[in-house]
Amino acid sequence: MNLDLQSVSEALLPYVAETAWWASIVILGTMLVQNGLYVLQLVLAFSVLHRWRLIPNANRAWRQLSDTTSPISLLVPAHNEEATIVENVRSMLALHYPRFEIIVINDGSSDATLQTLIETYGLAPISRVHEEEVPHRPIRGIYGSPGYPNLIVIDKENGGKADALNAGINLSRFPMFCAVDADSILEADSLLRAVQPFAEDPDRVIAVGGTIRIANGCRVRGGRVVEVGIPDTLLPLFQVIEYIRAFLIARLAWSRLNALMLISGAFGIFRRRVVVAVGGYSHGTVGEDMEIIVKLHRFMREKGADYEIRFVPDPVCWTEAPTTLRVLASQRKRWQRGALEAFFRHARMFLNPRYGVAGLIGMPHVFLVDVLAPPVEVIGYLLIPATWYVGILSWDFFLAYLAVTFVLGVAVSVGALMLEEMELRRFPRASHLVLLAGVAVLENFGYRQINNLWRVAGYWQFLRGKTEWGRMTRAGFKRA
Amino acid sequence: MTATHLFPLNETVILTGIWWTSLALAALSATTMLLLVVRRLFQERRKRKFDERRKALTQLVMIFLDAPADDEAVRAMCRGADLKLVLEVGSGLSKGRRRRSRIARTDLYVLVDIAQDLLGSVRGASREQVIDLLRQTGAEAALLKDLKSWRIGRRVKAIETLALLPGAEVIAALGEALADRNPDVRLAAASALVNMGHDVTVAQLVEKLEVGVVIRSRMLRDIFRVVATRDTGDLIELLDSEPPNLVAALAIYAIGTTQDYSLIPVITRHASRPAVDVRAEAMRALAAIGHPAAGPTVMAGLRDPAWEVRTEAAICAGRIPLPNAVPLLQERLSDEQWWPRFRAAEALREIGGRGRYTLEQARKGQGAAARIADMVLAEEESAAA
Repeated sequence: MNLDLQSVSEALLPYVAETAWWASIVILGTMLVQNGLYVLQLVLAFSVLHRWRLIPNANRAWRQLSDTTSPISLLVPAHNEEATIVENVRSMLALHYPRFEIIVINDGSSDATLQTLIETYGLAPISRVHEEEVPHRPIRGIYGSPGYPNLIVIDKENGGKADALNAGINLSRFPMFCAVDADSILEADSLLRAVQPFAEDPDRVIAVGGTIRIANGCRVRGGRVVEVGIPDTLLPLFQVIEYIRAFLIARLAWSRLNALMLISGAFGIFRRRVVVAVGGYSHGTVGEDMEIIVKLHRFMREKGADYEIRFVPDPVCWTEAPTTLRVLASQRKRWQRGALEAFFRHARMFLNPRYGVAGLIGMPHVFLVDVLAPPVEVIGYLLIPATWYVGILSWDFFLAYLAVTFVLGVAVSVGALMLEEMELRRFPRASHLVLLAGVAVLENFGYRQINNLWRVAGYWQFLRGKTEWGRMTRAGFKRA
Repeated sequence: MTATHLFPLNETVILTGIWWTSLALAALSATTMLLLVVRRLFQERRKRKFDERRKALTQLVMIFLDAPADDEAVRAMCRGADLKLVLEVGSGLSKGRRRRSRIARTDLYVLVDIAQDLLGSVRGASREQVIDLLRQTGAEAALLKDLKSWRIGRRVKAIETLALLPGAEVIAALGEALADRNPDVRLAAASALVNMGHDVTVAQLVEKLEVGVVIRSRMLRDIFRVVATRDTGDLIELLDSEPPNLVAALAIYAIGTTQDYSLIPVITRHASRPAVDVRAEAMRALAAIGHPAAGPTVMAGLRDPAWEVRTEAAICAGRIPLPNAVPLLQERLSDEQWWPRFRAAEALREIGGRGRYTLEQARKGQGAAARIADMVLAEEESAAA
């Protein structure tokens, strides 16, 4: 019997070794393609930013852009935001924009979010004409105040962020709406800057995303970032680099090709009628921000319409990054689930020429980065050392592979920092640049790997059909 | 099994290649970061200097605006080069002499920066003084030179500032910029020329800006609006030449902004064109004019097959207001689309009298018409409460 087993294992060994070899090649290939894509994105992003005409300050933005704007509804879904909602609404009321309304949607908060708003802004129940154009959970009441004629508060049963946004869409009356997170801070002129593409090409542009930046380390007063800084702890610092890479490279590059597949839920502007035409935000997804964009691409392509979904780098929305591993892990797992949900709901677009660049570039990129890469990379962490250990992979080759992977990662981050510095220059001090360069190196030793593990955990949750958001606790902005 | 199984190259060659690539990328990254930091330090220094000069020159410009000839006050506040600058400029202006002062090129851009902010907020004599200051210091000449810059942003910025400095030389340069290879530059030049009151024909604008083909910006609306304030003949001629839809919509919009009711027949002639956008724009233009002579066209709009046009027609009927449109608006309360229903209900409320009575009666009924009537009246009641 023993002899039989031995002979079987001896017979199988070459096949196992061959499989392991090819798996290693797939893993290395995936990583190289991914890094190659980063380099391509970097070049595209540079070409866009180089042409971008940055308006230097808020006064000039007003003078140059305010005449070309259309009215806009700010939709602010709020769930248990009693601590920050008043200040954030106040900062939104002070936005520099010719005509806008703010619609706060209290999504069944269990804390005093609604009561705080009612008391602070002197709100009272009102009637507002609206149509149920997109589905959502029942509205319990609508509130307004003569003192703040452009502020509306909707109180509704809890249904999640997508549901809250749908309620806001139904009550909005302007041709465009801007989805904003209740815990984010918009810069005073961010709306003005973000609607620029709508003004440049009003018939074709259907959605625009702005940049999200990490507010940890910045000084905030009265719901405004009054001094830009960088975080003083490592975890948010890693996220600063990640955000710069994501927004300044990936989104800008794909926006150039009209293959942008994600506009952050924290700050995105949409043409209302198109979102209504696709049925609004989808329920039962934690990645409603990505899903709506993929859905818009699909709808417009199936209709044969000429359209654009753009990203603009200079309007900024500030958000607070998680400061603990637990909260960050929960966020990253949710993001991974969201990406997988969006991809598999619209899988027919993948490599389908009918969907143009969205199907041939956007979806394959999502497939590579969000579907394929997380498990492949994690398998790589296990398999590559194992193949080296059993002698399939040479030590020299293993070391060289590690070196090129790390160096490519650092080079892409440095490229992103270069774009940031040359075109936007948001970090006030040279020392910030030095620190961020160091972080770009450091993140390769542990942070990237743990991130991949979280993404694989998100994968697992997706396969198990988990739909909850998870708890997102924040430390709060640094007050000035 | 090694890498050579896959590649027909020697393993050492592959490894050497990978290591050299890694080293080259690492060196490139390190050098890039070093250069960025050095560049930043240099720029910080330059910015500090710019800010210092801006502060000093802002003070000088303010003194100059208050009392350009008051040498004593100027001497009390200025030192060295600043004093020379302000005295030269001040004396040139106060004595009516047109003489270009020589100032540093960096100061020119500081002055332009200050002037851009000032010109957005000052009017009358002060505005003229700022403009004179830009001319006398040579800033205008520097901006004209910037029109030839290879940087698009610099060309556009120069045009935006030159737009504030009317003069033959500037107009000629902006005319040339109208043929620039970049559409943003052409658009900025067109906007500048039109806003300066220069006679650019609509046909020229459409041709140079490739309206609807290359440029679709909302800035075009502003340009066409300004053209319409001077002469609508061009626009009417353009409309009658069956232009592309976007051009027709722009021309109709511009005619509407004149609020000249004698132009209603022009809009009416084009209110039944095949393009929905053009028909909807015609309704908006009629609403902007707000004259009852538009009644028959608006009523035709209320029966339009496109809901966008019916919506705009309902808004128009309420804005004029048109009591004769009440029966049609009542029909629209049961429109298959929500927006025409909503705007028809609002229009009935705005028309008042018979319109309001119709709305109140509809509220007592059933179906979509009753729902929308109820909501519009309830909203009004809650606002009044």
